[in-house]
Amino acid sequence: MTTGNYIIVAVCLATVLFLVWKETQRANRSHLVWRIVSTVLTAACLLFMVIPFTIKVQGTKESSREIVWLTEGYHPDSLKIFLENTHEDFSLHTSDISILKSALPFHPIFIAEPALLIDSIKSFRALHVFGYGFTKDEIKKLNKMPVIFHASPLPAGLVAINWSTFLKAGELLLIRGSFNNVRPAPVKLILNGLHTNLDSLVIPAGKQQTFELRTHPKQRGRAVYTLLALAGKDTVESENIPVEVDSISTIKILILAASPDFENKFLKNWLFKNGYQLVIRTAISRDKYQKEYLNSNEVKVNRVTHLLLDKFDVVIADAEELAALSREELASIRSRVEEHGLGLIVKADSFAAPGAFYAKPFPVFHSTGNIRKRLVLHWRSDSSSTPASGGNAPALIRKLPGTQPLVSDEMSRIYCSSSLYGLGKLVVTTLNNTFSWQLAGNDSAYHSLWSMILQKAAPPGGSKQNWLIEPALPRLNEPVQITLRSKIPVKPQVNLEKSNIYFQQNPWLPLEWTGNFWPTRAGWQNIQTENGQNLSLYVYENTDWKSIYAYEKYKLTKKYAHEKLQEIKIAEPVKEKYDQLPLPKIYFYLIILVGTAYLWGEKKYRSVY
Amino acid sequence: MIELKGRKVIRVMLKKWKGISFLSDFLLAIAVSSFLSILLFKILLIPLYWGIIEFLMSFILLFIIHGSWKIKEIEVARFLNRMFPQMEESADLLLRSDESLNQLEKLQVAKIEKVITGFPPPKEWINQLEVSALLLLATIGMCFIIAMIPFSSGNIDPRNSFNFKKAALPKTEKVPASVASISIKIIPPTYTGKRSRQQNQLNLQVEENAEVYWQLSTTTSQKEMKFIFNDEASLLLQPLNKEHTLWAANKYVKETGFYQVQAGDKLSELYKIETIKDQPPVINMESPKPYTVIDFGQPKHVIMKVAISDDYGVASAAIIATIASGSGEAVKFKEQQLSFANFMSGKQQYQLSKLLDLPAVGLEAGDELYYYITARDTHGQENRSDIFIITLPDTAILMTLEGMTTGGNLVPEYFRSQRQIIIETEQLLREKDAIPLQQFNNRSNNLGLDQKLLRLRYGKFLGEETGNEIGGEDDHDQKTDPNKAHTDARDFGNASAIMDAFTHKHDNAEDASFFEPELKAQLKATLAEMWKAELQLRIYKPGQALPFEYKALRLLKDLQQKSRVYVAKTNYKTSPLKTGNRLTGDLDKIQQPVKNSALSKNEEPVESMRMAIPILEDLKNGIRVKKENIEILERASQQLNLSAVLAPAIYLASVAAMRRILEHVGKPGDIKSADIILVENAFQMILPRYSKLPVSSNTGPSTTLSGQYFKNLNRLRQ
Repeated sequence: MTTGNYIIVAVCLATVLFLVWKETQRANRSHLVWRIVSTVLTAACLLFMVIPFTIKVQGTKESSREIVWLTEGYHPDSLKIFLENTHEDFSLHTSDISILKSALPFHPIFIAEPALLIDSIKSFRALHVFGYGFTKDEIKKLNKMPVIFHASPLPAGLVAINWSTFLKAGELLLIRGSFNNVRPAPVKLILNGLHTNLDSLVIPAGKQQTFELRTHPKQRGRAVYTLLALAGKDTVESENIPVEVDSISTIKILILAASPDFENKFLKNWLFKNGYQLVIRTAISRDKYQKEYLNSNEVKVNRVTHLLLDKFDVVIADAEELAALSREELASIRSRVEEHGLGLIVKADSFAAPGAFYAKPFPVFHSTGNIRKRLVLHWRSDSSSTPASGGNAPALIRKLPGTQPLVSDEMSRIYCSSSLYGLGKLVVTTLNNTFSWQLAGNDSAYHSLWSMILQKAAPPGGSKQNWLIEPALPRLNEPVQITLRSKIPVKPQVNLEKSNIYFQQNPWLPLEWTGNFWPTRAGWQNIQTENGQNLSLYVYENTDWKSIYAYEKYKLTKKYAHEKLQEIKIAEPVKEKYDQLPLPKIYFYLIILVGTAYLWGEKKYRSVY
Repeated sequence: MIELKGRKVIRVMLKKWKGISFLSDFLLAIAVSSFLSILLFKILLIPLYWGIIEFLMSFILLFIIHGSWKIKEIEVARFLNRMFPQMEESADLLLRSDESLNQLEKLQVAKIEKVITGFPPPKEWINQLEVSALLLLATIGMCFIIAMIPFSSGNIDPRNSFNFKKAALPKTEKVPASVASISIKIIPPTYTGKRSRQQNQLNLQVEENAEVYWQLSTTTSQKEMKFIFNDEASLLLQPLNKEHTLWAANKYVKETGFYQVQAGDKLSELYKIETIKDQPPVINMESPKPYTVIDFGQPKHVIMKVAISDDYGVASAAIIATIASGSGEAVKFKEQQLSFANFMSGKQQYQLSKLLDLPAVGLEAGDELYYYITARDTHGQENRSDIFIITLPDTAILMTLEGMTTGGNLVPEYFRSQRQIIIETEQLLREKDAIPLQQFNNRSNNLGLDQKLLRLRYGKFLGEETGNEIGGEDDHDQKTDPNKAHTDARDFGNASAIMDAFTHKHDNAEDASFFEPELKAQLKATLAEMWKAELQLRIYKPGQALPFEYKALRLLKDLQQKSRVYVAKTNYKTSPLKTGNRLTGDLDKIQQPVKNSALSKNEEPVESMRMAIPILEDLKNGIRVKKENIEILERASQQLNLSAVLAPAIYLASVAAMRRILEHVGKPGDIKSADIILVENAFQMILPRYSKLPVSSNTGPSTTLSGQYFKNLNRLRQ
């Protein structure tokens, strides 16, 4: 009750008291009781016309009503059984036109979306959902209404999938997912690219299994691969896998060597041939260096300064050379690593200064135990762990907390390890004859190892924008939300196929912008940003990824229904079974009319006599 | 009427006979033709429908042989006479007209007519039918079995084994539009020994360096005709007649590639040229082993067995033998060439053998013979086998004392004994004629005894405890017999004697051996030789014991060499360093070399193909391509051509498809998706993988917000 209401009540009370007093003061005291009653009644009714009068009503008949909602994938048989067993009053609805047609014997009523149902029918006992359930949007609009989910069995086919659409040259295309095979026969999954079968796998009959398919894409630019599911000769499913291969952005490297060695020479040759910018400083004598500038301009390297280091992403140095650097030089390396994210790779078989910032997290020691003649090394690479045998036993690194071992042997002894240092990264390797792998023709192991080490040390590449698409598999004529993260909090200008996308800033994260659009064409789409960047987006047909979408709905609805079910269970004992209904004002009006008419008539006719 | 009835029966029988023999011929023909056609299909890949022709031919043949249409009534009658005694040899009477019969014959006819109607169809005919039906069944069974057997030679169709090849090969060759007929004569080079052949298809598969002679006749007169090879070289065809409708050209085909025919302005599709390279001869040495040692006493000859084969023919084969004699710095080499006696030039397969008589070749004791086989094929390509070695050890060296007088004297005394046994054996053999038999046998036996003692001495190194077995141990149970220990009264109270009975004394400190397993194995082998030598000596055959004695000696010498380790003595003193002068040099004049190099920005040749793939994808979706992209496509097409030159069988169809795409590139709607599939397929095969290179990770922009966070975190840490 607001203060306004109190005032009204007070005014009414005052009026009633005044009128009652006036009635009692009247000379003609006949019908006094009746007059007082009608006065009080009239005033009260007047009050209730302003302030609605509610009464508690036992649950109306409508509340016993149940609603059955049909969604995609519902099973007519289970619906039939449900309808036969339930004696409640129910109505059958759907928002899917195709279901409307298929479920004709049940006489469903079309309603555009479930949210409308809540508005139109005031109360019902339960909402039964058949099929795979609601989409995310629909659930949002359900307004926390409880739902009883009669889920259909899991959709057959692909129920989960993941791969990265945007690859750098040389990266592996790895498709992982889960396939639900409900057939009595095994299903063969085939990855087909450029009309060639690249990888395949068999899912046994009647099983849900995860799978992994891999290939090295060979194109530069966009191409659409196909994921086929074959049962015998029938194609069960055929989905497009769009892949865009981009050329790599090279890393700028400075090599500081205490002496010329083959390790640096082979590394240098490999990187040079692939267009990397390299500067190599090899010590000859005290303060005398041999300098090599590969794909790079000449810079002064006699002294290691901030200015010099700013030109590079990664520094590769021998432990001896680092120990020979002056204190200022070392400090500038340290500050660039810590504050600017420079990567430092140290090649060492022992540290002259174990307390130095680059040596501290990596205690190096020589094994005294029996070391086998041939080491088999493992490291995590793109494809799988690549074993390669090393030569004579290099020094070992003791693992300390905060470091990440990169290369180890079968006995988990560490030969290369990394750790974070401020914004930058430190990598220490004791491997000293990896070039022999190249001599032995094991190029792939050599490339894989050094790619991994350099990649680990390199600072993250500087793309100005980062964007995210939701849903991950956008479909034709369905809303797509794009989230951009930009470096500067300025409203981004983004075009999709020459039409603007309008962005809304995230109130808490000023760098995050979200926009919506509805793709009108399937296939590759160009997204252009104001700084001339071209991004690609692949839009699928509405019929694509059916089972994935169905599974998504299934999961969401199940979760929602489960949450709501628990809420109901908690709330039920407290909840009254009565409703508060406002009494229609017409009744009060009539009472006022009768009351005032009586008072008027009584005064007019009685007073005459 | 009566006469007619008999005749009718015979006629019916004739018909039946003809029918049955026809039917059996039919069944037989099916059997023969199905068997033949399945065999031909399996071996020569002749299609199965040829079986119909085979069937018709065999059926006609059988029909003619059996001549069933020729059967006449009289033959039926004779047959009936033969088969049925009831006919009383008078069935032919039924065939004669009534008038020609006399009374008796009429009576006979009336008699047999009663009989004839009751005859069942003759068993012989039924048998004939049954036999052919059974034959058919049997052949059908055989056919099934044959169909199951995988034939290694014929039925592996290379096109089936690779998916892409199937797609890439044009099934039927398209003749250029204006060309009416083609005749190609291929003259293989002489080394192949093949005759020239003719074909009327433009796709060529020829031997390397074969001469190809084309003759084309055109429907209309042409101004000019030429062949364009690999998109580069062109060859003009010469007109052979005035109307310019008959053209010819010839060329020696040296490399694989492709060509097309240009008639006027029109270009034909591409035709492939595949060359078959000559393979060098293959030499397979069957005996002897790569390294053969001929010990004393073994026959001094070696049987050599060689298999030589070549794809066209072997022209010559020889043994190149080198004898190395002498030792140290005075090694002499003598090379000689030996020929095979049973070699006849020109065949493809040879199974050669030669008895190598070592003394005849000039091999003496202590020499080594190195030899290999060379073979030259008709094309002049030569191949040679690995080098094989035969050694003839010199027994004289074994007897020298060198190597035993110097160095570590591990077990020298026993070696000398073995040598002594050999010397004495040889002495005994020399004196054999001079001494009486009894003495000879005695001395031989004594030598055997010596050999035994020697063997036992060595046996100790192996831990042998008795002389019965090489390397064997004693039966331990015997010694643990307690009764035996108590038999001698004198040992009463002798603790060690009692201990002896219950303990098992293995290694005495003196005999303890610490040999490696390998050394032990060799020692065992030595003992085995000694065993054999002893046997021969004990049965008074010292001559036959000699090879074993020598072998034992050789093995012992090897053993001696093996167990030796040399450590070279070093004695070198350096002058001490003056530490005060270190690191004080003048470095001014040391140059600081600077190297400067940049990678020339040449794109990888395959890059155009990589970039062409997205363009093809666009074309597939009917999107128009930009001008610069057409250039990329053209460059990719050139790259594809290069691949096709090397392997036309695989990539030629893709080259043609690429050309069609480039023709219609202005109108993406006209491009067939099959062409794009062909080209993309080829790209996928040609393109190598991207090599793995380090890339900086892309984790999105580092924002000022996270920068602030990092700074504050750092401050808090300090």
